[in-house]
Amino acid sequence: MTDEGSAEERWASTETFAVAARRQAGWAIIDVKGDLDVYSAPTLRHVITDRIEQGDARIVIDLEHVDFMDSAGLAAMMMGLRLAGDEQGTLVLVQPGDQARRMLKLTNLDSVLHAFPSVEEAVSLGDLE
Amino acid sequence: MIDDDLLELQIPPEAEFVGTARLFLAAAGRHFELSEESVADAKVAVSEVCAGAIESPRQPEHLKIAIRPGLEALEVEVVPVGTGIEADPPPPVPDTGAASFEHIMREPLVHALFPDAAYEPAEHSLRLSLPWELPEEPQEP
Repeated sequence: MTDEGSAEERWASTETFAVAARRQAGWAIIDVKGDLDVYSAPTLRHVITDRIEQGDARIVIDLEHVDFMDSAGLAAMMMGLRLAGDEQGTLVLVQPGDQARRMLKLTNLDSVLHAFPSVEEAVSLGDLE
Repeated sequence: MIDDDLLELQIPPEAEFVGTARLFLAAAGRHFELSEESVADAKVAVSEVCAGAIESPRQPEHLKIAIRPGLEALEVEVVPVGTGIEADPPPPVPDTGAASFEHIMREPLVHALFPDAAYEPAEHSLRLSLPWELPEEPQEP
């Protein structure tokens, strides 16, 4: 595990996974790359929890570069949605790929984890929710 | 390992090796010319079984992923190897709800992907079939 990058965007990464957080328009944007599974999901959970503890209760998870996601990834995002909700915030997704969309649909979590086509649309439309 | 038409991979029950199991499935899928969609579903199912074994207090020594071409389908099997030894209880961690959530989702997700799969979560075993995809026959003029 390495931890590198600027203060604005610090990447926590393994060989097959990387996650970084930054702020945009009052939202915490969490960029995820690679496979989101039993190995990497704890890192994402940690980053989400850290952002919420820092006071960022409005969270975007950018899944554009996620190649694979299973129940561990879904669980990490559901945990984030619950924690954000506890702080009167929310958690939304951006650009889940075909495989991630299939997981969301099969589990019916697409009804609670809302997906947007871009970060810009998420932070604007997400405000209306 | 290749023995006739059988492909096998053994991994330790550790999270960092689950990706290797998926790479193995992807390579087999390409070799047997299966669609990316069916291989992607199999990767999820195998990942779920491996994750269940990894998080179990009774871990097997290894997990074996076996792929064998059958008459009508590619057969994929995950089986534990070696009798599990009761591990020391893990250190207490804050209950975020995430772990229990994925435990609850694991079995329904596998059955949603493969309704006919033989999945035994307590045994960390899975057997599923990926039907052959026949090439489309050319249209008669």
